[in-house]
Amino acid sequence: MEWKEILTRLIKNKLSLFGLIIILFFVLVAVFAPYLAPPRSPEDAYEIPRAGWQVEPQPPREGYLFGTAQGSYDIFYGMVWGTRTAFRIGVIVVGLSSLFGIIIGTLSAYYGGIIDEFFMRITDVFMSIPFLVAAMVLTTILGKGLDNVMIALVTFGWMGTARLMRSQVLEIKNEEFVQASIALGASDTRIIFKHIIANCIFPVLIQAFMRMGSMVITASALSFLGVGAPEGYADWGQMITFARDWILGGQGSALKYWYTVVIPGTAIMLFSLSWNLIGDAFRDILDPKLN
Amino acid sequence: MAENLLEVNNLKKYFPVKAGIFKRTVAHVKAVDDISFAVEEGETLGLVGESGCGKSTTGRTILRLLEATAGEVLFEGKNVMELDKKEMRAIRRDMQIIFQDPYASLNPRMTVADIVGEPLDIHNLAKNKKERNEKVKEILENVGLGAEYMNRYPHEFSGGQRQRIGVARALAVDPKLIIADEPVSALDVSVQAQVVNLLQDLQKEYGLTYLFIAHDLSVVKHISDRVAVMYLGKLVELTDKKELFRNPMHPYTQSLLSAIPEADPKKKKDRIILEGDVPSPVDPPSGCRFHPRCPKAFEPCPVKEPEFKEYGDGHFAACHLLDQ
Repeated sequence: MEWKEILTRLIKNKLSLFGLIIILFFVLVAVFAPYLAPPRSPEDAYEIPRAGWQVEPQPPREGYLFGTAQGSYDIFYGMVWGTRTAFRIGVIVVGLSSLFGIIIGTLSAYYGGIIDEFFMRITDVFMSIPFLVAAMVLTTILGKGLDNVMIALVTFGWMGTARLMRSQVLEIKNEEFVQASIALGASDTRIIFKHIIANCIFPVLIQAFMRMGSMVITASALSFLGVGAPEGYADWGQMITFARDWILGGQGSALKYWYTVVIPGTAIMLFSLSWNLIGDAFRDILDPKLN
Repeated sequence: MAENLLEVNNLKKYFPVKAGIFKRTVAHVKAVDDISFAVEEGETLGLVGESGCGKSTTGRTILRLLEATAGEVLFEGKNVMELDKKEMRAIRRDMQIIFQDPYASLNPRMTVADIVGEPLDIHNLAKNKKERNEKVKEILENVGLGAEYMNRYPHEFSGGQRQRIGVARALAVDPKLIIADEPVSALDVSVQAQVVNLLQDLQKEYGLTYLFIAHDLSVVKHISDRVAVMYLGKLVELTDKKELFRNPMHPYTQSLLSAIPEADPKKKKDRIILEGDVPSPVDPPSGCRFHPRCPKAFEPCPVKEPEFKEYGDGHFAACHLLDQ
């Protein structure tokens, strides 16, 4: 199936169109961040400006569209620049972990035997540790900071792709067209790239779309648990963290500080939802039984 | 007599059966068990037998798509089994394969031009893109497909057309030997005839030698010069086509021939119906492998394995009856 056709069908499906529009919205926000929320100085653009030194969150008002969070951090600024962070985490973590997964899965399945055994046992070891706990421990060891969060997420995020790729390659490598290519004298590289990967990349792609959203949630969770971005860094997880002590409201009003939770929460939810919608539609399009 | 292009000597292919947590080999599937034959240059040797008798395995082992357990395969006097990776790649230009399933044998994500052009790329047979396209066009025309199909994908074709693409791919390297692994058994009868005729025309045009694997005797009768009959990993009979159909020596061949449907419904036929199923190749019967199902089995059959030897004028067979 051609890319053009896939794209037309993504647009025709209402749910995936909704997903695409939201993603497009976030892309625009990320691209135009310097205009939407001009930083004080370009060097520390990711540093959220503070409206003062007040601890208690303040509701939306003139100049602070979404209000201010704990410590008087500007929520609007944090959300706008946090969009960039979300994309950076999503693209880098999913990209790198998918790449590792594809390489390991393909080598395991294509060469089989002892190589397969070796890689798959390593995969098992990594899979045996709960993802969030492992990522937390590694981030703690490496130290606070978004780069370390990403390293931790990549380190413990490639196994699913590796297994998926392995099962795909095992299926494809015994197809007759692969045998035909061997009979023609093709090199291993040619067979792997032209025949095998070309025929099993789509499920991995779908999975990658699905993981885009969940990676951002996980990174936010790590921030929330206090091992993510340093305080004041523009990141959606950070914004949720600011809300931690104010979720229950106060002074007889449970919804008093709603803006601290609802705004970053909605952004994270929409972001991950739209990737999932696209992934879902993508899967339906590529499933020959549903065509 | 023409020279032997391909000589297969004592070829064996056993597949290990692994069981238990330590994956110990507990048994072997003796898919091909000690077979020898030769294919002369320019001829078509038909290889027939029931499903699971090892025909396809033989073909794939000759091409080293599967590694043989034992034996040698001489192609133009060179032992294919001993070649290293580089030499093997070079010799693949001379021996090609056409697969049974026209759907599985073409990469669904490649255009026809890329599928047929792949052998040219691998062996650097075209200097540039233009020359490659010219060559692909020429080959496609030779198999009866127009140049307008070049940029289409395999799923846009019918079974017969796909099989023509498969033939074109095999032809692209200008091979000497083509192993046709049941090339028509997945096609409609009307299309079968077209593809078989195409294969015959190409043989004349390119001077090809075929090892034609099939389970359909009428197709084999049409295309082959000589026919080899296989049963449970062993050759039971090998002779000239006419001789085989006139004078089948082995009881298994006799029963196979009696199963060919006759066009005349009124004609009385003596069908030899075999009892039971093909035994498991993991634990084949002792002595002659055919003896549990053979209508003519006698004392030596379960005990002693019959020798595959010549009974006059290139007619080989393996049966104790013939020694009496």
